[in-house]
Amino acid sequence: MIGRRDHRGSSESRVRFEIEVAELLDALYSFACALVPPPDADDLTQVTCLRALEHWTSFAPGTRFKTWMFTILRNEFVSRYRREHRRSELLLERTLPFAESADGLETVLIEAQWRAEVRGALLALPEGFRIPVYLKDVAGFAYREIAEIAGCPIGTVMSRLARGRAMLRAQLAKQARERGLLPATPARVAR
Amino acid sequence: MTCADLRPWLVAYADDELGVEKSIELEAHLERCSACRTACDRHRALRHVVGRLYPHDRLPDDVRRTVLRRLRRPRRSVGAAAIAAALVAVVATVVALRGARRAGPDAVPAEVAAALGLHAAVERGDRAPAFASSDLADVNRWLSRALPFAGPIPEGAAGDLRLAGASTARLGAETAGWVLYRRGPQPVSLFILPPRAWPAIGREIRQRGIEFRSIEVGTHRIVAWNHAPVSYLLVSARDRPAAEACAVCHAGPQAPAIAGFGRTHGS
Repeated sequence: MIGRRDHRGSSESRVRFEIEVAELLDALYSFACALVPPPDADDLTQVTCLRALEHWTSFAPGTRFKTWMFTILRNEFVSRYRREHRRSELLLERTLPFAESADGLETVLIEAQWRAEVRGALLALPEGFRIPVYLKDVAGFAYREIAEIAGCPIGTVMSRLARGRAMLRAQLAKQARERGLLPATPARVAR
Repeated sequence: MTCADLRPWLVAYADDELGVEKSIELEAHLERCSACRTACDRHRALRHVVGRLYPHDRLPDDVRRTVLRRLRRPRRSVGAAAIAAALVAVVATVVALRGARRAGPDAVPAEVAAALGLHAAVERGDRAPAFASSDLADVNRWLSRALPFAGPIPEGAAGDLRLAGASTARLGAETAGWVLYRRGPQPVSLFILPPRAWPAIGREIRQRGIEFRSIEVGTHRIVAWNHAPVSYLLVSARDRPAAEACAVCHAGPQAPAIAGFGRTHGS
């Protein structure tokens, strides 16, 4: 664990910092790819690491290093890329006139190995929903950590996660129906 | 307590993030409410599926080397000037890497190389369109909002090409529109870019006053052309005819012209 105040200036601590960053590179890049297209994800990952190097002496003991790095990446995304890569939110909202029943959808997705489709549907979520769904369901962060990374209250994380998953499920169910993997007419259920 | 009162807590319960007292309260409700039980199960199932299926990205080796080299460089100062210098160095490295790709043995323009990379990612199953739809009108609307420049958007696809969706993509220094089609399981990518002069690479094909350039790289064929006010790049399998460049934009009545193109110029 790095970040102990009494060791932060030592070369040993610096080496540990480099090792931990190196171990997180793919996770950081994967998160970057969930925010921006790959060429920019390269740059976003690099800038995040350099920014961490700049500020690593202020890393607070007790904070999980991975959460700290993801927070830096998300902040860099907001300051550099957000306006350019803000995605269309209206189309997805429009696909949610009612909650999908889509019983058996998850089984269909696993059996058909819809890896690219799951990725595509998640990346198509509006940013406010995409980030909590990615951080929870793909990266496995706790709510408290997601709130820290996303810079919002835990209550907001919960509501966006619930809504984001509903949108994701609706989009995947729609595609599954189009390909004949689910019955054509979704049953209406209470929201 | 009603469903509406408890629904806000359901997601936290499904994710094992709810405190003990609230969990007990919610479980009492779940015992007698099948709708909330189903909603809870769906949260868990979807989380499981997304965690299992979402493909993880791996940082490209050249970028990894650059980052690690930057981190290992000894520093005496970590002030604002140092980070500015580091950022300049990163930008220079990225530019140099892209320049090296451009000057590679195939001498393909940077945007062509980037388009090939994105298309190959779709073939591997690592990428999917940001907006997945087979509905032409929906795709057109999405693209017209997503693209930073105005330009004609494909009117339809001929033959056995099936529309799969659209994205935006970084090609070189610019943002392009990316329309994905499929022929069976095989992807066909059409990129829409701001206008440019394509270098005289590959084979030249002229049809209806438009100059197409057909380039073969590995197992892929790339067809590049301009049709004011935008430029296009089509990436498909090498064994596909260059006439596919027409097929992505024209359907129905235009089909005879496409067939003629194929006989005259296709591979």
